[in-house]
Amino acid sequence: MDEHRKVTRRELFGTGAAIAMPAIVPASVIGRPGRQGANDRIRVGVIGTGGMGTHHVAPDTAALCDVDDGHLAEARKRVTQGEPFVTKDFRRVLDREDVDAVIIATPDHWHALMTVMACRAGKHVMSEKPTAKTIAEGRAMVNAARTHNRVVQIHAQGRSNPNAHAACTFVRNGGIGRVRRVDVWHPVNFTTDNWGAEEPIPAGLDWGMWLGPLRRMPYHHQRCHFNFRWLMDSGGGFIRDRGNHALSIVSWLTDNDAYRGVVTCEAKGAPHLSGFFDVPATMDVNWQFRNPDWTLTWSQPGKANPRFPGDWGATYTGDRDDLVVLGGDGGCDTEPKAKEFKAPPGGIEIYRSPGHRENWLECIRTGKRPVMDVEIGHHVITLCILGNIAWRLGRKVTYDFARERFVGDEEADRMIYEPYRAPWSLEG
Amino acid sequence: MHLNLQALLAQRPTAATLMADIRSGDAALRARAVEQATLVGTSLIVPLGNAAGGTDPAAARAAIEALRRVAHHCARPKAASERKAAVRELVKLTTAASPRHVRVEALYLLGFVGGADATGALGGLLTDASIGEEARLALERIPGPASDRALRRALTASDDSIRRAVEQSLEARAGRRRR
Repeated sequence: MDEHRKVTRRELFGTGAAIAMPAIVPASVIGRPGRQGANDRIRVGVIGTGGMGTHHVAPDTAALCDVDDGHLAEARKRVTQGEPFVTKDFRRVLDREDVDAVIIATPDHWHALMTVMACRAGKHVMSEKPTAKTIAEGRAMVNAARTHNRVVQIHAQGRSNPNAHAACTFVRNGGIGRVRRVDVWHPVNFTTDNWGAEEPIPAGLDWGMWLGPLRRMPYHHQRCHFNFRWLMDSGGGFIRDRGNHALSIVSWLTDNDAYRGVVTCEAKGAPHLSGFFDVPATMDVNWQFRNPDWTLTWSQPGKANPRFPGDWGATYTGDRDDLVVLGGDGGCDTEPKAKEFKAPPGGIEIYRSPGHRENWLECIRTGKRPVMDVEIGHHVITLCILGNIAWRLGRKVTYDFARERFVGDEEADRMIYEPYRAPWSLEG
Repeated sequence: MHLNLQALLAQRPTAATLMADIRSGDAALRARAVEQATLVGTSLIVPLGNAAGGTDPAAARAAIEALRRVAHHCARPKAASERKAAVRELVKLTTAASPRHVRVEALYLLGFVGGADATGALGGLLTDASIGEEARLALERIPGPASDRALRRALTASDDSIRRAVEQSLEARAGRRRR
């Protein structure tokens, strides 16, 4: 595939005369979200159909895109209503007038660029976690969503889980008093005993498009599907993956989404030296928030709370009580005291999502902000990224959420941004 | 406290002992060497680069990790002279004498550590068929007009793809300044 083919404005905005008129006028043509009829079908394309993408392919998916023929063939079998458009080049999906919205389930390094390009092309977006690879990418996603008035939901779906909702209602209504600290525990990162020597690129995989904006590197199966997670450049380890889930719930329960103050972050972790993965094998991160003062920690490995144990989760400690919330993705659970709690009259009502995809589609129809709006996703992933930056630099960093800059650390500021391999660019 | 400092200084490795540990077949010694690399500093950069280009993958991996730690440590706030020394040493690893993956690593680190003092060397590599793209990525990250000048000089390159990529870097830098 020609990665270097220049993307024209015509291609981005999908005005090709050869494209047949759609049977239903799509939201992207009508304009702003909220103008579509409540019963109109929103036609969804899925970009990235392996891994998490397998869960997003519905029987009526309008378009399928993946750089791996194997993924595409499997996804095609799951579409049983109609004939989906199938391509290895996501730009062809964005061209189409008969696609209103896209779900992006590619590896992390594509999330921001595809989201920005999709918004410019008039598509609504639900993008998998992590929100972005860098802080600058997260900001670009928010700006694109607002500039083009698109509904952009991050698929950190814990906020659509009823147990997480119960925990949030409990904590935000004072169930544990004022929150003083939150301690997240999680298993360690994956390791390998392989050194990553170049392998032949499998037939049917477009490695150049898989890499996209990422720095050029030789193909190895552990750099590609799934295991990209254990390289700092492409994955950032569990803290940038499950961390997006876990810290999304933390930010929700502590009412931290709109925090614009300063946070300090320190991280320690043993480097993985017995193979080519370069995320730390273990990781301990500590964030200190100010006004109100509270502490957040991430521990890999961490110690589960024996009162309500689970593979990963968080203990919320307040000045009157504490609460355990397990997971942070679709499998959230929490203690009975939170599940049985009802908000008192006049208490704080928490945004209720009927389901993450349903919430996204509903917001496209109504124009309402989704439960995991891209700006929240940007805020949450910034915390995860700060952990990795502090670990990589080997020093405490101070980050100013209002300025979206580090305080007094010019090198750390350079980690806010990652240059893209040509021809990929976030610029319009 | 005084005794602790003395004990720490007594344990402080030399470049030679640390490199011997990196090259040893002992995983524990290698891990300790990585942890202690910042105590030795910039004099380790070229030896670590050489080990990273060696045939022992475990030693190469440990050397890369130690190299990253030393480079980032030298770029910490209020360590201007160490940062400059690190740039000088990293630039040595960008020459064709080093294997490509070592040159790539040095260029990546120069993107974080380098200032105007790195842009001449990086600009000279923009048309290098092997690592020109990595030099461009490093220059794109380094703030300041010296990087812009180095990039603009490559706009006269005969290769269209280099010119387009450099234009992309200049646009990205201008976009970041606007924001």
